[in-house]
Amino acid sequence: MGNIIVTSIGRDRPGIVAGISNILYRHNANILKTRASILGGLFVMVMVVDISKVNIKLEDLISKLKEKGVELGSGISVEDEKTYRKKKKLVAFDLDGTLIQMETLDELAKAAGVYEEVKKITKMAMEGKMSFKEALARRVKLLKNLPVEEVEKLKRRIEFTPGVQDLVKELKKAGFVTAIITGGFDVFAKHVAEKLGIEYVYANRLIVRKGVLTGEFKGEIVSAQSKLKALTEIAKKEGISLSECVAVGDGANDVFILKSSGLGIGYKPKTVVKRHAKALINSEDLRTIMAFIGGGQIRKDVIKKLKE
Amino acid sequence: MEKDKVVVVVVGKDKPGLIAGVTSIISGLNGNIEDMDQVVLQEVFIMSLIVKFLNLETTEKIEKLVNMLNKEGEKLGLKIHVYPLNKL
Repeated sequence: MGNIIVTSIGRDRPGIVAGISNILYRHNANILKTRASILGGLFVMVMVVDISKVNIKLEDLISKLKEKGVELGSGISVEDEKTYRKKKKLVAFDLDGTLIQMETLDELAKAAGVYEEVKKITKMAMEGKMSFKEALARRVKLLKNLPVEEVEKLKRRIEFTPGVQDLVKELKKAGFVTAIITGGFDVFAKHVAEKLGIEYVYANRLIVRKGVLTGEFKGEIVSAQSKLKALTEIAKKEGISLSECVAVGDGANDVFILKSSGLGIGYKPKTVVKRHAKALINSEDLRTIMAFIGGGQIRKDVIKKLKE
Repeated sequence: MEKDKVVVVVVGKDKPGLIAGVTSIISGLNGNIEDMDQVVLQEVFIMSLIVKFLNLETTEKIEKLVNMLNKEGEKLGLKIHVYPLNKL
């Protein structure tokens, strides 16, 4: 096993270096190299850590580091050096709760007057008591007869997560391929993709007949597996490997995509996601993501841009 | 503003716990690390920090910091030097 790279990016405050380095010390990891600076009001620290003599399981050390990062209020990532050095070429985003500050299915349910029922089904799916596929089908069924105007109205109300426009602009400028992969609906995903200039959209479609929703949907993005399948498809088309991909998401159906891509970023992650994401970000501002995916030297340059 | 900043330079034989030891003292005194560069060259640990302290104007406070760092340095086998930024 080679070295690991620990990156911490967040609001500046005393105790970040001490907090992280104490955990490493307690478990006999040796810090070989550190570079830290305040850039644009953010404290950015990158450590190269030798883990050859670590006295606990590596995955336990990693979760302790991630917990500490969250406790310190900074974004944190723990990557192996080899993947870290690999240049990333594609970023795939989840939609609801990640690119936009809204759960669109919940909002549609409110408009249809079935919010409480939808919430119950969502909860069951989250607790693993019902498959995503069944939960999605049941919830969409409850939307039957909702006028299309309500969907359009919601589309106009969509609010982006702060910093997301800048983030995508920077990513495109740096040559990244961008994608939205969502278990939500294409009417919203395409709208967001168009506004942001994102190339690929994988989503499900609400079926409309005579101006109302039929309560059915078409599409394959119905599980954690299918999200990964979509990413694999895009990567193949672009001729890049999964290790060159970054995935950003928050929910249980993002687990595979976060685990299998080169860098999985849990953005305000739900508990189940925390274990599987290499990077955790709790910040309100999505631009910190740019600092994480810059990789190596670029990471520093990229953060400089945040100053502007 | 430079008067509440110090440069801390640390040199010694490398082993785990050096950064934890030194930075714990700094954060315990409410010092904020603004810049940090650390490297291991042929098993020699070298670290430089720029640390900002609130209310460090008084010589006493700098002395306290220096004393604490020296004590920790002795324990860890490190040479630690502290320079107030406005006196460089």
